[in-house]
Amino acid sequence: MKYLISIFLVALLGACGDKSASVAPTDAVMAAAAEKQVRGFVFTEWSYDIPKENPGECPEGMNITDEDFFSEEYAEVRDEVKRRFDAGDREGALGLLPADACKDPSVWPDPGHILFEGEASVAGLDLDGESTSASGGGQCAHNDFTGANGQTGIDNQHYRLMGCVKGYRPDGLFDRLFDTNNSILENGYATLLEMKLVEGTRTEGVVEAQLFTSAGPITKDANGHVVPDMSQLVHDDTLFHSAIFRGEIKDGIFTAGPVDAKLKFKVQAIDNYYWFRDLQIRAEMLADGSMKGVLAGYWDIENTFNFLTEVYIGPVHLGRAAANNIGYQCAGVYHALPRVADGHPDPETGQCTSMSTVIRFAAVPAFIIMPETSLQVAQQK
Amino acid sequence: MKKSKSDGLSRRTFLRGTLGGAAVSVGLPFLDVFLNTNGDAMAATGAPLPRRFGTWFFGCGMNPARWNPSTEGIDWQLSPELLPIAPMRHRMNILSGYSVLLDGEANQVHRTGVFGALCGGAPKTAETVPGPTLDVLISDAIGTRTRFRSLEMAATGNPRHSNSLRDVSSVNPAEPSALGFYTRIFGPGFSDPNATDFTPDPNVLLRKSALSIVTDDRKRLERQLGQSDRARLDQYFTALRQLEQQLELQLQQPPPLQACNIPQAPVDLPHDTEIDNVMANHGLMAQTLALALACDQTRVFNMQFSDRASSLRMPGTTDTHHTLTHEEPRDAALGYQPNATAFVLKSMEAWTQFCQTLDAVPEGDGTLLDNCLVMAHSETSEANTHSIVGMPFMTAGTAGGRLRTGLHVSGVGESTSRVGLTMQQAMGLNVGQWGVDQNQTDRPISDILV
Repeated sequence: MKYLISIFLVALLGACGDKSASVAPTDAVMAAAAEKQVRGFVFTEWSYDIPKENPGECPEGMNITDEDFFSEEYAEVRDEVKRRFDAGDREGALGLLPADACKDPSVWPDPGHILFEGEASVAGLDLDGESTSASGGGQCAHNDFTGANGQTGIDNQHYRLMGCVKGYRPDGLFDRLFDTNNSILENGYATLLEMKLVEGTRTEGVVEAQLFTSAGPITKDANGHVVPDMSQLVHDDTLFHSAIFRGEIKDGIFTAGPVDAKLKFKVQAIDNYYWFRDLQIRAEMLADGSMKGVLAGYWDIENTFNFLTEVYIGPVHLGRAAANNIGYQCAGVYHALPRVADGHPDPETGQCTSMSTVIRFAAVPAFIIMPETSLQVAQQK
Repeated sequence: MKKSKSDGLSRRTFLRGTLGGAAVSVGLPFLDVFLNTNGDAMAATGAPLPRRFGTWFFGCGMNPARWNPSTEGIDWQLSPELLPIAPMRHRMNILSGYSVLLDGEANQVHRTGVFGALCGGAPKTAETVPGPTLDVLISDAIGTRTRFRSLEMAATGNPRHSNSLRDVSSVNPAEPSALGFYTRIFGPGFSDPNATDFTPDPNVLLRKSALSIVTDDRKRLERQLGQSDRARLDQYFTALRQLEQQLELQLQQPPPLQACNIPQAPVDLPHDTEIDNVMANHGLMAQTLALALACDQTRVFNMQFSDRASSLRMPGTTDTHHTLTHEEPRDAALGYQPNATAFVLKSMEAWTQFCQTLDAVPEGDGTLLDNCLVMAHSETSEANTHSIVGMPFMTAGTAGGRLRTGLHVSGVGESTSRVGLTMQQAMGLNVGQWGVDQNQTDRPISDILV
């Protein structure tokens, strides 16, 4: 049955969009950027934090999938599923399988989900400003990590949730997808960052920053590398423009936030967006003008489940196929999400509604063009 | 027209005798004397030996680091996953690095790679294809004077395993059975080009006659129609004329062909995706196809060794090649997925056997393979990540001397449309530019074009 279900793997990643979103900058664009002391960046790498050096142990083993959990039920319908699939009736084939919790998580009770309980060399930031442990109790109690450099208090409940899922382990599916950079190169959109100097200099100063999703895909050179210093048109839907947030460049390190941001991704079978809350940036400003660092913040857990499961090829929902390939059960993750959530408690229930997460990223210089600006340029021509 | 090498023999020469009082005639096999003195054209008509185009598809790609040769040019070094092609490497080209450029569209897994390469642009939705596919374009140009415009085969035993289509609603279904494939070609309707006598099929005569009547009616009807309706009718009759041409062929004595020997019907093997059965069916289909080409039954073909998201499996297992590409852990010491990679090696082995089968048929002063151009391709490079960057392509044959072979050309970052444009130009199509948007190109791969 695996070969039937996994016919559609799903790869979660990417960034990019419309063909006209990325062009060589005009002289006017470059002059305006220099005059306003504005610097733009386009993201060239994006990956979940999968610690390769010390991913930690899962003494209870890895999480299982629906294919494993319902192996007998799957075996009973295998031939008919294959027949329907071969006849092109994908929906009909998938309909023979046990109820799909990736479509509706309420169809099954919690089958359980193994959380990562140990220590690992995760990246990240101390988002809540304190070192906590689950045993300490309290609202949204959780175990912090100690970083590879000895930093304590690192919040990364995303790894607690997925650290015992095979696709999130070193050399697992996500690791390979990120290593190949497909998440960026195949994305229909790009993530953009713009910073305007408020005081100080470009190397030591205070900035106002803003995150965007681009209107289209990133520009690559003949070798498939992202081309720096291109004009990147911002998405015209302001849903994908963050608020302006404060940042600082000091000793070669850019720090900024917090800010809420919704960032679009359209890769393979995913066409969705991330909803991050209280996102912070910490990145090293490199001599060639690029930057490399982490986005760390809280991922809304409802959006997390949606992002994991709203996977389609055409009209066919493939959330379960994705889960089977990556190595978890949707019902298990659905019920585990509130248990790992450590941010943004609901004022009435106290239940946390977001989980801390970390995105590793790299970015190269770009000229960020707001939609109305590009319109003005077009009119001037 | 050049003269036959021997004036004493003609394609109508045959041995006569009696057996039990009945007259018996035995035809001669097609001999070199039926060719011109250069051995590159038929003496009877002066027509050049037919050139054929085919695709050969294998699902789920390869491991780029182990498949892509490390060196380019004529002396390229065999990579681990290309070792099986060693016996035929000098009859092939390796085209690595070419990618389907997404143009902002999503990479629809196991689909964008193949149709992007075959249609010159990334599909915009899961329900559309920017067709027609390359083979259809070529068959439109060279396939109208043969009995079959093209022949499609699926060694996996599933007629849906076909990438050949004019548009998304008109897929050319594959023949899933080696025996069925044989019957389709050499069963009823087959006209042996080397037979000593020729009797037109009465059913064909009837259909031809019916079309002629329709043609007469058309002229009457056209006089009563407006301009737009006449244009619409003309489109309709264009399709009918193609049908007429192909029926006309079946009413003519076909020219003799040297290599056309009707094979024995193959045994019918299980039609499934177990690798041993697939290899066996593929071998039988290749043999039948080789003789179908030699007998000029078609000049375009599409062989699917495995399907998109390869459902091949090893005997006694249920995990498919595709499943393994996603779920098998990468062996830390080896650096790749050994069980999934076994199917890559099987695919390369089968591709080599396919080419050897075409190469085993003498034709003119070379072999059938010399007068073919076969393009092997897949729908991904690394299947684990559904990568469509650096897709694997191979060609075999020279298209009657129009292509160099034995080369590895790396087109890193370039569109797969360059491969498709090269195929069309090598097959003699008058195409200077092909593909859409970012995938549009006017640059064939000149390294391999003569």
